[in-house]
Amino acid sequence: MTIPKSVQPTQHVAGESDVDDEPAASIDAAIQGALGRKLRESYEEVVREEVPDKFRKLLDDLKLAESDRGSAGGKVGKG
Amino acid sequence: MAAPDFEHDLVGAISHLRAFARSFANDPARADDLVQETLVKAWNSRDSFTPGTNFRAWLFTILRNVYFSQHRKLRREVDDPDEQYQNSLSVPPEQHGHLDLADFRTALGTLPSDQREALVLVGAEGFSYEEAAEICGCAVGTIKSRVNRARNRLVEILGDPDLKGGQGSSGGHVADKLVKDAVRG
Repeated sequence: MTIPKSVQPTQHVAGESDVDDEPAASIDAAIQGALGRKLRESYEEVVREEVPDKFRKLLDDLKLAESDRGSAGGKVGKG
Repeated sequence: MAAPDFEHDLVGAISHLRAFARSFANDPARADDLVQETLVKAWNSRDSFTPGTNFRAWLFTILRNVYFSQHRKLRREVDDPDEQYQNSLSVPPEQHGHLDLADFRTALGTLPSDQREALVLVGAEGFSYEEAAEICGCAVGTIKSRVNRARNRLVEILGDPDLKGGQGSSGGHVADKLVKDAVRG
């Protein structure tokens, strides 16, 4: 993914010396990279959580309700 | 899609739906309610899914629609849930050596919801800008600008070099940790 900051003209103010020898753009790129990893880490943590049974049960109930309706209406046969 | 395949794919997508739902509702129980309603809608409208297209994108679109229809109702009835979400995020940063996930989530939660959504879809879920635009029902350029604004805002919140020296301020701790994380790679 492109990092727009790196192609922008440097915003470093002359005389400012917060970090020695490092161009501001590469710091920004590094911070963007760290943020991207944090975002994925944060998201993946939820994805990896065990899915509670209630979701599986909900789908089973939906299927059951459908097959009940099907046989009551006489439209749907077996299978 | 044949019913067993549809069901199989639907079950497989639940964990991602739950993660996406958390970007709307910080309260996990509320997020799960959103997912349950999404599953019901998806199941009942499974004939409208076009096989060969992105199944997860289709589900995310449904979840989004469910959220916004509930949200409109809630706004009329009680306090704005987004406001409640913002309030729930005023957690002080942890005192560890690196940027804690809680710190990051706090910052993410302060973003405007459209920017947070775009960033999560593209940056976390890995959708293309085009797919994200389709899910959100907006132009590709809009998604790109939301993602950029979200990234810049996060850097502003967490990585502002001016905050680094700010002793005692929570912003200073967070910015320090973020820079350390960035250096570590």
